[in-house]
Amino acid sequence: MIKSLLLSITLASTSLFAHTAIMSCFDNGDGTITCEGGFSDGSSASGVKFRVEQNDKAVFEAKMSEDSEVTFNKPVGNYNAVFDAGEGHAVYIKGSDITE
Amino acid sequence: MQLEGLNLRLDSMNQGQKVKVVKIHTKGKLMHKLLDMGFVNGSDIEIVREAPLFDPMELKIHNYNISLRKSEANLIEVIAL
Amino acid sequence: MNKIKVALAGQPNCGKSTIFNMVSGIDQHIANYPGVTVDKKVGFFKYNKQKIEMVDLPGTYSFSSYSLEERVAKEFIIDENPDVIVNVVDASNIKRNLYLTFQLLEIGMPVIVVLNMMDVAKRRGMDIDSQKISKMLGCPVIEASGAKGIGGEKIMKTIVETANAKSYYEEFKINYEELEPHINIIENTIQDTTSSLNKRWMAIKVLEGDTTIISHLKQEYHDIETLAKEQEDKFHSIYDKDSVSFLATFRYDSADIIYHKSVKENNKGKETLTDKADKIILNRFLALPILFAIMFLVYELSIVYGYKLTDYTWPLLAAFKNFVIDLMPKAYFTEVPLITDFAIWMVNSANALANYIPIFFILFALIAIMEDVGYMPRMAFILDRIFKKFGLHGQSTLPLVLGGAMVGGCAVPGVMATKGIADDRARMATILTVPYMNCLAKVPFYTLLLGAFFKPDMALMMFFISTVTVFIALIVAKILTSSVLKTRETAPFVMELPPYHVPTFKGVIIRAFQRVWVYIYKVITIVLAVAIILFAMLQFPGLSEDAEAKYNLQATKALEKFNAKAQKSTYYALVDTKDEIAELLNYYDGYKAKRMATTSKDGALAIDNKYKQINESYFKFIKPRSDKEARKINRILRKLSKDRNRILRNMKNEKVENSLLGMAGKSIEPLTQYAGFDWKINVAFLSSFAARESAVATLGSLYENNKADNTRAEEAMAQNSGYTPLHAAAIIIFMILTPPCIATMIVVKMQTHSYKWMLFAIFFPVTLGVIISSTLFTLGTAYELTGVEAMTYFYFIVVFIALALGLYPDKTINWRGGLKIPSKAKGQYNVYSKSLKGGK
Repeated sequence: MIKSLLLSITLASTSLFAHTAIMSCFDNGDGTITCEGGFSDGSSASGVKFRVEQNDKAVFEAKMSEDSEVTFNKPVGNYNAVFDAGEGHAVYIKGSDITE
Repeated sequence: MQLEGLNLRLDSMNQGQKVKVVKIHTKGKLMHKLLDMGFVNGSDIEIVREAPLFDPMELKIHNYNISLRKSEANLIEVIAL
Repeated sequence: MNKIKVALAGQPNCGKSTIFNMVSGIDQHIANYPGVTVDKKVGFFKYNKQKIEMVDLPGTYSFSSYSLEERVAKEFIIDENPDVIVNVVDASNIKRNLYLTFQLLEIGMPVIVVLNMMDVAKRRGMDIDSQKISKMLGCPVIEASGAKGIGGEKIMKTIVETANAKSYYEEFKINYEELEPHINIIENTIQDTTSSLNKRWMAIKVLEGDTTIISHLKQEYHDIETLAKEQEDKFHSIYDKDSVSFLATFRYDSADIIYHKSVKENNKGKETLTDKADKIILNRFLALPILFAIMFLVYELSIVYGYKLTDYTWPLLAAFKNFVIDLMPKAYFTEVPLITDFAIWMVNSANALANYIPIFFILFALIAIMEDVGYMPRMAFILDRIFKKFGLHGQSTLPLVLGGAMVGGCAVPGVMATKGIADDRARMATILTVPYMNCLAKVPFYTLLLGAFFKPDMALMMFFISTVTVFIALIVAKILTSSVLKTRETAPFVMELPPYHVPTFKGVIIRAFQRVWVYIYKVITIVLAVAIILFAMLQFPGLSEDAEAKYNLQATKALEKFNAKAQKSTYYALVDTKDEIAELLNYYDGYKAKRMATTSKDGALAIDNKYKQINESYFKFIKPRSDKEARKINRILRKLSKDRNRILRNMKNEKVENSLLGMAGKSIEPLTQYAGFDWKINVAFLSSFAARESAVATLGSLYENNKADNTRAEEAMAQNSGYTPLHAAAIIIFMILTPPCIATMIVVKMQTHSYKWMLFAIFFPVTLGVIISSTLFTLGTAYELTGVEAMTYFYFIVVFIALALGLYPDKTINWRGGLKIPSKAKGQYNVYSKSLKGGK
């Protein structure tokens, strides 16, 4: 409780991240999707949490590789690819927006 | 004014009181500043309030509001109205 | 037709800027008066085909020579001889404003009085007969409301009319009764002066002891000063008053007469809206909570919404980056041309800085709103007592807030905002303590370290970091003002609390733009200039021959691996030479980079189409779909890309280690080891001095290599470096105590006009930082404290010192000037001086 109070006093960790999180995804055409993550100031995204969500549940979790990317099997139906760099820093990409 | 120096000073006045300027007991920069802002002999001052931390003071003079540190207000001799 | 020169004069808070903006429109230039840091605003406009140049003089309550602004204003009038003086008067505050008006009229040049904020006066129930005022003053009086855009046309018309009717101008004269004989004597003495200025005005000014006029006349009349003193003494001995007080009293009495004859107050004594609002805002118990709430709101809005805005601005910056890279010569597998490397480095630096612009724009706009509304003087009023205790001033509030008093700001506009602080000692102290505030750019650095070493306690640590800076600033201010700055001139704190105003949209936006522009052309240009030097220092002397050979070997191996597998595909012919592979890799990188920069589905499609057109077969390798053969190439292509990037990273790190900066970092290791810093940390700090942003990138990349996949820079650092949280705490504290960047130092030099202070502003904090972080680290190791414990102790010690200093009774006199009360008995003086305590 104290922690969340402190957090809100320090304006939430949104202030901790003065750089923007970004991600782009590609459909490889072979049943897999590759997503590449990054930050606006060039910081590497390797090790940042990534997950695939369907119906608000995580169906796949991993961390960005050394090259800041993740490859996963394309799920059936609607899904979201989520690059999770912490509070206020998550990038969501809809599966339907990922083109071949 | 027989009892110079024994008259009241502005910093000892309380919220809501109204006073008249008798004399400014300082020279140089501060005197000029005070004169410019209207603290001339005979002017009316109303003590509006003290700051939340008790210093400075807010005064109303010539229809506008001004802030003055108590140590500076101490140099202004006044009589109560 | 000659250009008409107009000087715009008025007291502070009279709405002069709004009138200026209304009349001169957008064509404004801001420069400096020669030799001083006072802004000179000049506007150009036309009326009836007549060209007019209007200079906005600094706001002054009077026209003596006791403040820099007054001197500048007076010198402008003497040197540039304007055709017309436009005096903006606050209609709801006529009495005090007339004090300046009289002095302007006495100069002898044509004056036009603009009664501004008529709407406010009307709302307060004041009926003003401006015709009567005009008759009594003998000059045109125009009613206006700058905020509502009323009166501009009339002002311009009257300017032109007055300028052209100059010869019919009647001199304005106040009869100063008892002082008149003395004025006449001086006036007669300077009868033959070559100066074109009004003689009576100069005589009065000489009697007042005005330094500007006296030095103006001294060349012709060497003993003018003694004459003045003589007359002054004579007057004093007869009437027991000094001429300055006499003149002031007379002027105010005259203003009073005019006021009572021309203004009818219908609501006399009634509370205004401002009075009502101040009852809450300045309430003893509510004032501080309200203040903190407002600050919190300002930061929350600017940082949260500013950050959201960057989602939209980032793609623009990324597009720019891609554009630049496209222009550069392409890489040839692991050989990257120096110029391309350089371009990427520069663009990254520029983009990192530019990414803050949305946040700063909102922050500065909100601060401008607070200024325009009139809340800033209230903040100064509330906080002055605390600030004064530490040698600062109520007016230090704005600079400290701009610099980042809570979680984020920029020291550059903060230091520049110290211009307005009248008290020299407090101004210097403010300039030297603003850099301690929370620079936004330091934040990613804290994030990196907190994420690596303090994951569970992140919120607590961040709270410490953001709040400890204010206490540190107070302590440093106290130390400085008690030692190095002790002999500086101080000034009285006499400040108007203007009525609350609704801010104008135009005014707020202009001010926000001006401050953001300062950030852009000062911070970005300076930082980029330094980035160039930094690049050189991180590159040269470069890899040794052995190292080059080693990496070439690795590169060859990667290519051989690719080759072996590629042979299995029917597309092998397309990728069987090194040239082709290099080209394909560049194609692949370019495609990925462009895709990263687009956020829309259509954008993505457009890129796909473009790349398909460039090279259809290569595109197949990127998007093989159902083509099995292409898929084989795709897989090994991705692997090759990974290998190549790894090689490049290793090359870069080794280059850094061998570079000039690396060697510098290594050389100071013996000193910094007490703080727990190794050469890598040293390099990061040294490079971040140019711009804090690069600290993260440099530090991150120095630890990125070695470990296998899937570790974040933070984790890599935690695992790789052998550092403990205690190390990290020492690093963080060092970061807090050292100045943000070179741009700040340059602005410090500008505001202090001396290289000496700039160097002091660099070396003092750095030395302090080294000492404190070393102490913390050494003690922490000796007592086996964890990082969090060490930080907590540090925090509470700082707060304790600040409170101790704050509560310690003040024995100093606030300014020079003792008290003398002459007794009525001639020849006898009671010298009665009192040592003044701050507060009661």
